[in-house]
Amino acid sequence: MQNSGVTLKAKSLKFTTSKDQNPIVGSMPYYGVVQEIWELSYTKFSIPIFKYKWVDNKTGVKVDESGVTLVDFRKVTYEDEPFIMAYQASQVFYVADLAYENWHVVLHGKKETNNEHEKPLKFMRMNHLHKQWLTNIVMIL
Amino acid sequence: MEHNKTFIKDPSASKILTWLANGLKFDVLCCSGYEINGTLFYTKSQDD
Repeated sequence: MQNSGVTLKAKSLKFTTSKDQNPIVGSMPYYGVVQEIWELSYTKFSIPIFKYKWVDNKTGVKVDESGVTLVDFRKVTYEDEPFIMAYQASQVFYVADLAYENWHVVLHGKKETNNEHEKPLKFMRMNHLHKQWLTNIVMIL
Repeated sequence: MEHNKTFIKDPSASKILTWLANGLKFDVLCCSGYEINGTLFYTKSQDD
């Protein structure tokens, strides 16, 4: 099983040129792999966030002629913003493409999205797995 | 941080907002697996 593949649809302003006066809001998928799961504690409640390696949308993502999305994990970027809220994540599976070396095919899971932050987030730590405390994260952030 | 101070003092702020304004603990628990809304997520190292 593979449970670390993730996609996130992000809205961003798209400018056709640097002088574009009417940028449009576009939805852009980003593809990544979960590196760490952090549980931020606000004393009375906790908020899980995911830390990722993200594939560069400019050089590491392509859609082939049959509409299949492929990603190249050697093209990692956006290192200065690795975190997303857990509710933003949708799971995907990456399957190595035998035709193109180093490329992986993106397969979407059954649950396409849980992207609605209005819904209460149900989450549960897998306590039987490896756990670790990061102390004094101010130093890291 | 002015923002946070305002919300901490404001009695009309919701409980959740008040806790958020008080800030997070700087010790963070990391786990290699988490279930979010019924979907199980693992870290890459847990997957391998």
